Amino acid sequence: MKISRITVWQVDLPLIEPYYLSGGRLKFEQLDSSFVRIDTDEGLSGWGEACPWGHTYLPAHGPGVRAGIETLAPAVLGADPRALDHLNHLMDVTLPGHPYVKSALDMACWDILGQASNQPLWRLFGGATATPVAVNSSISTGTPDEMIALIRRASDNGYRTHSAKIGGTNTALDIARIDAISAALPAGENVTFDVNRAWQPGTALQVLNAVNSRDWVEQPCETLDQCAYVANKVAQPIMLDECMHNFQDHLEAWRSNACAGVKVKPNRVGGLTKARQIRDFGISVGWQMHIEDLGGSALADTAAIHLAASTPDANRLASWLCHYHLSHDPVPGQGARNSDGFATPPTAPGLGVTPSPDLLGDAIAFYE
Amino acid sequence: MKITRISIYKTGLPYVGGAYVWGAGNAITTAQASIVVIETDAGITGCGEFTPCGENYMVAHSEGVEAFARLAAPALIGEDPRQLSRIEQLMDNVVQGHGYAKAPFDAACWDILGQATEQPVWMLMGGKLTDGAPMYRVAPQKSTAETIAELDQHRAAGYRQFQIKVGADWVADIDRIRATVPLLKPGEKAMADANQGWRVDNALRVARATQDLDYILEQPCKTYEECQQVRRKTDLPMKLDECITGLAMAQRIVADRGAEICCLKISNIGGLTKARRVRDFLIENRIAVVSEDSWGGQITSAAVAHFAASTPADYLINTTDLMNYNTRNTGIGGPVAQGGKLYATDTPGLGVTPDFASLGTPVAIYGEAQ
Repeated sequence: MKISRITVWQVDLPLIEPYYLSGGRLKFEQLDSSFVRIDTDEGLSGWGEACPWGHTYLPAHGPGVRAGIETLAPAVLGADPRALDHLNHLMDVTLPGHPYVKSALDMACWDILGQASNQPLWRLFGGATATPVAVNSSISTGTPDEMIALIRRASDNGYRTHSAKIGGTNTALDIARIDAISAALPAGENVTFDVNRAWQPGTALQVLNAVNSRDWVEQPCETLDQCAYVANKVAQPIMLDECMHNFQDHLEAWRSNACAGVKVKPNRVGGLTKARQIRDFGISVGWQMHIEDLGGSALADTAAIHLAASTPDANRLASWLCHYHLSHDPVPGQGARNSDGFATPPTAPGLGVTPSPDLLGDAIAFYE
Repeated sequence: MKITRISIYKTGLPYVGGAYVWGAGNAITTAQASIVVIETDAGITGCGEFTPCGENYMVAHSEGVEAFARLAAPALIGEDPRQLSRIEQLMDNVVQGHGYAKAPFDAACWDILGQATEQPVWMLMGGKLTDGAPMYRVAPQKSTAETIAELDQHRAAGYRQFQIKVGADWVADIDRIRATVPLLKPGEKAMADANQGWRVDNALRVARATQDLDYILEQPCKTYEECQQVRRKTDLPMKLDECITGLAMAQRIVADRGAEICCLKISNIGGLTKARRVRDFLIENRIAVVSEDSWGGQITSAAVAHFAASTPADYLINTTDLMNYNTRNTGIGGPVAQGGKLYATDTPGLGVTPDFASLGTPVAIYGEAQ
C-alpha cells in the first residue's frame, strides 16, 4: 500500500469565549487548524489534524504546519502508511524537529492502519475495551470567586476533574486561588492547578509551601531544570507539560525526579506514534498521565481518546476535550464526546471519525 | 522610525562544487535562500537572510521563513526597527521557537540600526576585536588523494585551518583522518566534523584509532548527551555545533565544561541579538567560539563577518566565507575574503544590499511602500 495523495485544508476554529492562561499573560480567541487527508493506491483514506493552541503557547503555529507539510510531502508520497515507525523515521530525516507538523500525517496513517487491519485505534494501542475516559474541565484564570463559579458550572456538566489555570507575579492571589478552590471543591472531585510556566522557582516554593492543598501542580516553571528543582522541594505532586518536546526530555525528567506525571499530547511530541512510546515509558516508571491533544476539533480529540482509553486505569488521569471550547464543529456528531463526564472512543476501524470535505471549505494544497 | 513594508524573497543557491556531501549520506546541490527586506518611513532599508544547508540539516527549513512571516510581519509593521530587544520580544511573543525564521528579521533590523547611526554592525556589537577573521576550508568528501590536493590549493590561498568532513563510514573516516592530519604544517589546525553522523560506539573507535593525532573532534554524535559520552573517554579537544541552539545549551556546556570550542551558527540560535548574548556568555567563561551560519550568500556572510569582527581574536577560532560556496548571489557588496581571512565592511549597517536581479520577485509582501 502506498500513499498516493495528500490533501490539506485550513480550518479556523473560534473559541466560544476568550481563554486566558498564566495569569492573563496569554490570551486565545481562535485556533488555526490544519486537516489532512491521506489517500492510498488501494482506495483507503485516513484523516489527521494538527492544531496548535494559538501560536504563542508552544513553538508551534498554524502556518508552520502547512509549511512543514510542503517540505515533508514529497518524501512521504509513495511510502507505506501502515509502516508507522518507518514513516516517522522518514519524516524525522526529511524535516528535523517541528513535531507539531508531523502529528497530522502520523494520525492519518494510523487511521489507515486501523482500517486496513479492521481494528479501532484503541485496540492497536493495546487496549482491551473501548474504556470510557473521564474528561476534565479547563478553568480559565480569574478571581477565586470567578474560578469557583466556572468549576460549579463544569460540575453541572458532569466534569469531576478540573484543571484550574493559575500563575502570575501576584503570589498572594495565587495562594488565595488555591486555598479557595481547594476549600470549595465538591466532594469526590479533583483539581489540578496548572501554572503554565508562570512562576520563577522561588515563587513556586513560596506559593506551594504556603497552601494546604496537596493536589497536582502542573508546569510550575519554564524549564525542566527549574521544575525539577521545585519538584524536589515541595509536597505536591508535579505534572509536566510544555517543557516536554521529545522522548529525551521524558528520560531527563524521570532521571531528575522532576515529576510524578506528564501530559501526553500527540501534537506536542510529534504524533500518536511518539505519544504512545512516551505513554508506555510513563507506565513503566509509574507516572500518572493526562492524555489529550494540544488543540483541535473532535477529530484530534478522538485520536487522543483512543490512546487514553488503551492506558491502564492506574496510569490514566482525565482527558481534556478541546472541541468543547469551540464555536465551530467541522465533524458534527462524530467522535468521542463528553457524555456525563466521560468520553468513549469509537469502535469503528481506524479513528472512527470521517470529516466531510463539504464542511471544510476549499482544500488549500494537494500533493500527488 | 517605523517599519512600513516587509518583503520576502526566495532564490536557489547552487553549490560551487556541484554536490556538497555531509554527515551520513546527505547531499545538497542547491540551497534555498530566504531574504527579508524591511523598509522604513525614514527611507532606510535593511536586509537579512536565512539559508539552510538543505532542508534537513538542522531543525530549520526554508518554508518556515514564509510561514513565520505570515504571523510576524503584521505585528512588526509600525514598530521601530532600531529597538532590537523590543523587536526580539515581539517576535518571541508572536511565535515561540523557530529561531531560524526570526534570524533574517533580526539581521535586517541590525542593518537598519547601523545605517541610522552611520555605524557598521561590528561597531554596534562592541567594536572591532578581530581585524580579519581566520577562515577554514572544507575538504569535500572525495578520494583521499583528491582531498589532499585540495588542501594544498587552499594553503596556497592563505588558509591555515582545515575541516575534514567525516561521519558516514567510520572505518573510512579513520583512514581519511589519518591521511589528512599528518599533512598539516606546524601551527595549522585540523577539525574532523562528523555532523552528528556517528553512533557513540563508532565515534569512540574513531577517537581511539586516531588519538595520537592533533585534531579537533567536532559534533561526533547527534545529541549533546551522546557527545559527552564520547568526551568522557577521549582527550581530543571537542567542538560542538548543531546542538547549540541557545543560551540554555550554552549554560549547560559551561556547567559541564562540555566543549573546548562552540560553533555558533547565528540562525540556529535565533539571530544576531541572541547569538551575541550566547557568545559573550561563553567567552566570559573562557570557551572559544566559531562565527558561522548553516549556509548562505552575501547577506548571511555579512552578518557572520560582523559577528566575527566583534569577537575577541583570542576566542575566535574561525569563520567561513559562505558567499564563496555558491554560484549565485543574495546580495551586492558584503565582506571580503582575502589571504584566508574574512574582513567585515566598515560602511554603515551590514554593508550589503539585496541583489534584486538575482532574487527576482518577492514571494510575499506585507505593508505598503512609503
